[in-house]
Amino acid sequence: MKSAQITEILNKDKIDNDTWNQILPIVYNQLKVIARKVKHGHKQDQNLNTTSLVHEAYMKMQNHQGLNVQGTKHFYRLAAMAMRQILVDTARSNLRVKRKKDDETDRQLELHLEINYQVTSPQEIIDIDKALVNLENLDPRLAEIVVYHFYGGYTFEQIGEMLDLSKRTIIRDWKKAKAFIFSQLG
Amino acid sequence: MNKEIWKRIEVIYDKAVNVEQKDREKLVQSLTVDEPEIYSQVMNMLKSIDETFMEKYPGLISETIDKANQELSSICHFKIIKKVATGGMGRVYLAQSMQSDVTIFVALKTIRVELINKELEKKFQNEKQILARLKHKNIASLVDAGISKDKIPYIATEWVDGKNLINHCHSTQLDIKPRLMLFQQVCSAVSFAHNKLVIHRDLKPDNILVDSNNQVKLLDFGIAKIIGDNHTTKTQTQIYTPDYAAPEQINGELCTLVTDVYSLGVVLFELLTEKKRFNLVGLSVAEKIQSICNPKAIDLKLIQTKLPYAKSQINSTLITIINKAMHVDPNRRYESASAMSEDVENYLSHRPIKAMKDSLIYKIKMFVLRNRVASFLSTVVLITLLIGFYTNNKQIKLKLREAEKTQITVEFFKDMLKQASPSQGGKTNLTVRRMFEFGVDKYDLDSIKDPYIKAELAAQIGQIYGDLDSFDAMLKYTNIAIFYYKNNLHDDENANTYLNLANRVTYTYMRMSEYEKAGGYLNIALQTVESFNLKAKNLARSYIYYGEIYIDRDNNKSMEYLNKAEDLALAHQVNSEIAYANYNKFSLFYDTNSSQEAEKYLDNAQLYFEKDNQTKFNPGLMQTLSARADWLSKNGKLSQAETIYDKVNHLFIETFGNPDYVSTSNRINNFNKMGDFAACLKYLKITDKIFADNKLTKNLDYYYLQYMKAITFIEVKEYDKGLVYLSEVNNYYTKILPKNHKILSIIKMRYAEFYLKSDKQDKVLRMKTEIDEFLKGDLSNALRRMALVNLANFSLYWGNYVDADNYFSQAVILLNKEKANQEYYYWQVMTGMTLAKVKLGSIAHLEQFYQNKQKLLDKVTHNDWYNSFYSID
Repeated sequence: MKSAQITEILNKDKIDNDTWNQILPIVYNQLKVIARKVKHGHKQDQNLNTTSLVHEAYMKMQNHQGLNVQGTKHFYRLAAMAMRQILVDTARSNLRVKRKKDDETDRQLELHLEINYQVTSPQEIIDIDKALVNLENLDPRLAEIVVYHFYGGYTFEQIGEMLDLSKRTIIRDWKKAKAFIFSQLG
Repeated sequence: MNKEIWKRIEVIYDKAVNVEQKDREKLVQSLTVDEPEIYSQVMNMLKSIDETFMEKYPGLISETIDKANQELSSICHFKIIKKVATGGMGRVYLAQSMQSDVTIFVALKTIRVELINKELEKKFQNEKQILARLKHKNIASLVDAGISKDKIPYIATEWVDGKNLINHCHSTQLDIKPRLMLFQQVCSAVSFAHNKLVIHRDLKPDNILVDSNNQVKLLDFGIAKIIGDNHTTKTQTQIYTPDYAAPEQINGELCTLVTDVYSLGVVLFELLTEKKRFNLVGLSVAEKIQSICNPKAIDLKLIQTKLPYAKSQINSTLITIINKAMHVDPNRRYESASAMSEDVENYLSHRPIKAMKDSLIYKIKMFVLRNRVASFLSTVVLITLLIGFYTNNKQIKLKLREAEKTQITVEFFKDMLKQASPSQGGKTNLTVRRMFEFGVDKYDLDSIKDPYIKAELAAQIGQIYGDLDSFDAMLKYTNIAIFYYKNNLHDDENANTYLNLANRVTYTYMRMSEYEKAGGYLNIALQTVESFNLKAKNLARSYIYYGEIYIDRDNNKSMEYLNKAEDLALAHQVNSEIAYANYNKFSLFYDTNSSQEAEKYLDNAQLYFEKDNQTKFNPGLMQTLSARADWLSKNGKLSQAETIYDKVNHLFIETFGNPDYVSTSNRINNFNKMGDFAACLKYLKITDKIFADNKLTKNLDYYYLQYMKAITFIEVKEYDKGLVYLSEVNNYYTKILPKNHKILSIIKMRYAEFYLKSDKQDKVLRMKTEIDEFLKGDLSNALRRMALVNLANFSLYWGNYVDADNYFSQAVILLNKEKANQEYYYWQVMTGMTLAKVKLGSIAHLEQFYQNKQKLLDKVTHNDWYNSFYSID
């Protein structure tokens, strides 16, 4: 699928779940490539943070065809979803490498990324992901906020805009979602 | 949990977060009286409020890659000139130090690490200290390492403008032997680093460069450790290259020194074949591990490669070396890089390699080849000498010095060894001396800054020169050492070393026949150190040398000192000195009539030298053995003596590659007595060669040989030559000896013989008067006998058979005393005497004369003038 087609899909008002799943791997790969290649313009942050990656990917799409307002919102959602996927996959592969050195897969072909364990451990990432799946079943909106904020790294204002909600509500919901996940981790 | 329960939880949670923290639990409790599950769920959720949970983005750590990979213009005090390479670890730049006025180029590596913290910085500092000490001509030296302000870890090393080892060999179409020599350089570097306990961990052709001077430079030494050790997280980062990694490395086990040996094996394989040992391309990790940990045997037939030499040149010996280095079991590899290097060296110099210990056929094959090159054993002996010396100075063994010494020694002997090997550009049939001199020449003693090390090395060189009979060189080097110790007499240890060196100088003076100098030198030395606590061995040795100095001058005094030495040595159980004291006592009695006494001392000497047999090569024992042969020869047991001479000769050839000069001259004397002049001439040639090859100082031993030459040439009727040597000897001895010395008299006797045999009538006449006068004096047995025989022969010459018979009879009595009835000389005398008797009309002696003549002829292989002289018409 070409990026023009992706733009077209993203610019639609509504996207169904199947379509999301279809285009997710594309953004996923794109972000991975960006994560590996991003070279310039980063601040002194320790982390290769999600925002900058997503921003990079977004700029790339903008340069081509341009996303409308709805498309932009969709893109950010997509990017956050992709980031969640990347982080979970990375955490899994990191854990696997750790546990099983003679894993069949060539380590060099694995994701070249590693999680900054000072912030979150790979196990934690995986556990959070599990709890988040539970939350999605109970309260999709809370889960979405987690995806945007935690994985996507978007600010509460940005998320408010995307969901047409006030910043206060987003903060309140984020705290609640976080509390739920925390309780699940036990 | 279902949506309903969640809704319920949510409501209670929302209420709870809106009240103050202290009231929350009460509130939740009151709202969930019959719902314990909801109560605990809400309470768990509320706990998260105080936690900093999920507050930060779960960042990815590609950021540091980016830092290391940023386009930089400078790092710390290095100005970046250009990027050279990008690798998994980071980047490599050509950079220039801005701290120095001189242009210093460095290879600057930026390193990708996950997290920079205090611990990492500390480790970086530690490693930097270790790597900075890794100064070796085949290792790119560390210039600087650290973490820049921008948090970029960097390592700056000497900039090497060179080619990857394999590429270099390929592009220059290098032959197999120069390749192996390059490999030796690699081994030298690795073994040097191993001595400092630095493991490379990532040895591969890319890290081995060859510069324009054919100098090998190893890169990235120990860097793998910095990176490997500093993963603060527990992730596995592969810092090695699988193609060259040892099985234990791949299995994540401990890396040891032999991990590098394994990689050396892989490199050697690739160096010789220009192909990788394992074809890992396109294999999965599991398959790679399989290939490496269960390697298929090397089959050169399967290797498609174009080499400047025939593939068959990579013979089974080399494959054996590679296989031993690359053994899957680390314990079965070469124990060190130097052991591997040694085997390559063995291969190059056609000696059996260690890896192939068992193959006898191989050993024999190599033995034949080995004799073409200088003896390896000799070097081993020299190295043993050095090592022995070092271990004696325990107290001064500072670590750094130790390391420096090791390097000096290794370098020194490497050069020597190289000389011994024709395949490395050295000459064939090199003597120890040439090897050694080459080593000394190449080694610039003045470049050693540490005066102690310089002194030690000079002492060693001096001693070896002494062993090689180069007295001037011996004195020159030993005096460098003595200068140091004399000015550093801080403690007993140094005083003892000083005395030891002074003893050696004394000994050298004695060997130069400068006995007065020797005595004076020893006096001063003993005075200098008299206030110190001296070792029995050193002091006893001084007494022994006094004893030796007084032999033939004042035998009583000599005995006094030798007894003193022996008592001291016995009290301290210093076997070597007991032995030497006895050996000298033997010398003292050698020329007297107390042969039992002499034999007793010789037996004692041998006994104690055998007890002292710590090293394989025991010079004292050799000397005693040689003396035993001399003694047997003196007592007429000529063939027994020859057996021992032959044994001594073999021992020397085995050890030094050439026979010993002194024992060979005595052997020649023995041949002379046996009448085997062909053997005399043969060995005289050999001693001449030893003398010329080794540029020996002309000392007493040398003139003794000239004397042997003189009498041999006279025997074989080459009178001109004989006279030349005889006068040379006469001139020398007249200069150094007092007028009435027995040696001068012996020479006079030889002149008489010469005049007679070369038919110089007038001279013979003059000689007769001289000898008549001479016989009136107090003479030793041998001299009297020689004089009598000369007079007898003169009488025969003039047809005065009565006088001849008379003189001969007296001479025979003396000869019997000397137990010389096996000698050629004895039969000459017997024949002469019988001839005189026959001439006087005693027919009864005619038969005996023929018998004697036959015995004489049996003993000599050629016709000599006696045939005609004694023949009866």
